[in-house]
Amino acid sequence: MKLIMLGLNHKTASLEIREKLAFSSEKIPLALKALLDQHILEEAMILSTCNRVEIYGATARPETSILQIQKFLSDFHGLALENFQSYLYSYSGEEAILQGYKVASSLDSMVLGESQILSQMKEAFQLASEVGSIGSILHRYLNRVFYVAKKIRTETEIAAGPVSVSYMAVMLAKKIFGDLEGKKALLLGAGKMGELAAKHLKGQGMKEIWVANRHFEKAKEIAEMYEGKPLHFEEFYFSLPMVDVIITSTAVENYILRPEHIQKAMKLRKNAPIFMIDIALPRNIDPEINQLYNVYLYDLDDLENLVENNQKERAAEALKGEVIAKQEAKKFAHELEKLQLTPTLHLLSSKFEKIRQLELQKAFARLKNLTPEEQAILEAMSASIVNKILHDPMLALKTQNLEEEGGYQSYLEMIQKLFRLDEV
Amino acid sequence: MNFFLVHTSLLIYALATLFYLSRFIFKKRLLSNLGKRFLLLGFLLQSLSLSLQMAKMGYPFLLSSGDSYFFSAWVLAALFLLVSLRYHLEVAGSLFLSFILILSTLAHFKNVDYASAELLRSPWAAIHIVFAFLAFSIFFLCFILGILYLFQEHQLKHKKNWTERLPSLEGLEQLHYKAVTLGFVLLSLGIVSGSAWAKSVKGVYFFDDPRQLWSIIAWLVYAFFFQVRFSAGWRGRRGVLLALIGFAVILFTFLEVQHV
Repeated sequence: MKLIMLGLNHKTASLEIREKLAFSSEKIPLALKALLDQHILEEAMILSTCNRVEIYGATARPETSILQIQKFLSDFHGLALENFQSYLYSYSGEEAILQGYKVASSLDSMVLGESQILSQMKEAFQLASEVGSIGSILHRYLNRVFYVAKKIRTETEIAAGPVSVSYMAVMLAKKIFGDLEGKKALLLGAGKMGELAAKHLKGQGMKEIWVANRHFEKAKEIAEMYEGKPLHFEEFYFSLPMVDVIITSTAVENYILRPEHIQKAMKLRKNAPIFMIDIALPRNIDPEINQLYNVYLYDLDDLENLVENNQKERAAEALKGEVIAKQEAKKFAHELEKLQLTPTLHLLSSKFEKIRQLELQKAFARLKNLTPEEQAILEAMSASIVNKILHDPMLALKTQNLEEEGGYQSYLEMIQKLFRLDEV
Repeated sequence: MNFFLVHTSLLIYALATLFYLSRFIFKKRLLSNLGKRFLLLGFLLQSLSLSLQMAKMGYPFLLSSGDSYFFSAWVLAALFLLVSLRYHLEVAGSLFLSFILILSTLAHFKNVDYASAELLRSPWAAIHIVFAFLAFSIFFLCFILGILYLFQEHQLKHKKNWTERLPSLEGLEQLHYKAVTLGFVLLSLGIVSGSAWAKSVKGVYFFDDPRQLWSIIAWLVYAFFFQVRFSAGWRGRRGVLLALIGFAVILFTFLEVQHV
């Protein structure tokens, strides 16, 4: 039995193709059952997200199964194979194992270090378990997948530091203030990005969000979404001493906040720190303001630079992650092969035992006048011959490191062929 | 002093320091956890050594500069263990431990017996020494927090990448402020008890002693710290810098103590 996988992802196929081949969670049980019923796979799991569709399975005939899965995909989705065959990738054995590790640990994701894929994988496993398409191999494998994903996440920094501008802004706010509860934010203007930052802030426990807009109706509308307070645009200057975070994203062409505004506010605040995020283009806040004491001003460029740095760092960390994934894949492949050793050895010794019994019966039939003592001697002798013949090969399989000599798999296959174990 | 315990605790502190420092290089949390374990072990050994010393010698038990260094290392270790129960300060750990290590090494190599041991027989001596050591170690904590604050403030102001391993800027500032307040109270008590000690031994509250002078200067610096923090809004960098000046004076006072 070998582990195989087949699929396509955002790197190999366009969204259009991915959409057509995706499985909704209602369809997955049907598909899994079909894969087992049609004897394409012995065990199966389907992972279907907006970025990838992947099928993991266990089979005794990897090559055939992969071809059958391709045909199955085509039949199931009613799409001719030649339309998508070139986007598919498929692996078996160690490479398939590795692919699952890479996917679950986000090494294969659009955003390195994202954690969503791991929970999607857990859901896929859950679903397949409910359907009953998870057997001993996939069960063992997926538990290992979750372990490896966690290991890569904790032993490397692939998930360190925010990699989106709005999240970066919020993390900076937390870095400056710690707890955001009890802090107030002022949102100026109604840009998309500003709103997104406000949403993140609210999510991180920001107490109050005040919204000022040229159009009071718009301010009211946004304020309602975040349980905030709408302000008339002219009012916002008076609110400056009270707010700790200011986000600007208006379409105004010149600076609406100048050093003198903030200087006055800081005096009233007794220099309690203030964090300003200018995500407007052109900018709304005079960059000179960053020179003021206890004022931290970040514009879009600053945030993007930080994000880019984090992305680079994550990419560098991803290399370490790959090394871990490869080591772990090798280890698991080895374990799987070792697992299959037991039934083969069992078959081998039971075949020998059968032969011995048969021959013993024949001998007893010919030698009619044997005393029970003599029978026992023959019995013991034949058992000892069988044991001694089997002893060396058994020991070699169990203890010697066969990894470098082509792996267990080839040995097992050879033994199975030499002794015709499939006929037993 | 029981030399076996003293040497072993020194060795263990050296290992703990090594673990904390290597945490910077290898970025493994395991390392600073190990560092903390070793610190705790070293601290327990030191505590044992100190209690044996106390049981054997009775009062007073700090008879040489080596004893004082050893004792201050012990107070610092206790303080760091206490603070790290609540705060996430692994970065401070290596600074803290390096200093503890320096103090315990000094305890070995710069061991001069105090000439005027009879001075220490006044009950005020014990009270004074306890306050003075506590104040010193709290101010040392402020010093470390101050350095961390300045570093992080610089990173944020200049839009450099920041580390998630430090508490927030405001959290650090608050902790620093609380620690300075506590240190100030202890320093005040130390000065008062020191004067009472002077009175009981020499008959006057103040006499020609540089330590008294320096500690009063330090007290004034910290008093100024509170004044400007409230009136002029010197929270943040300016306050921290002022507290650093205060610590420089404290350090001077502390070193002066060795020349009784």
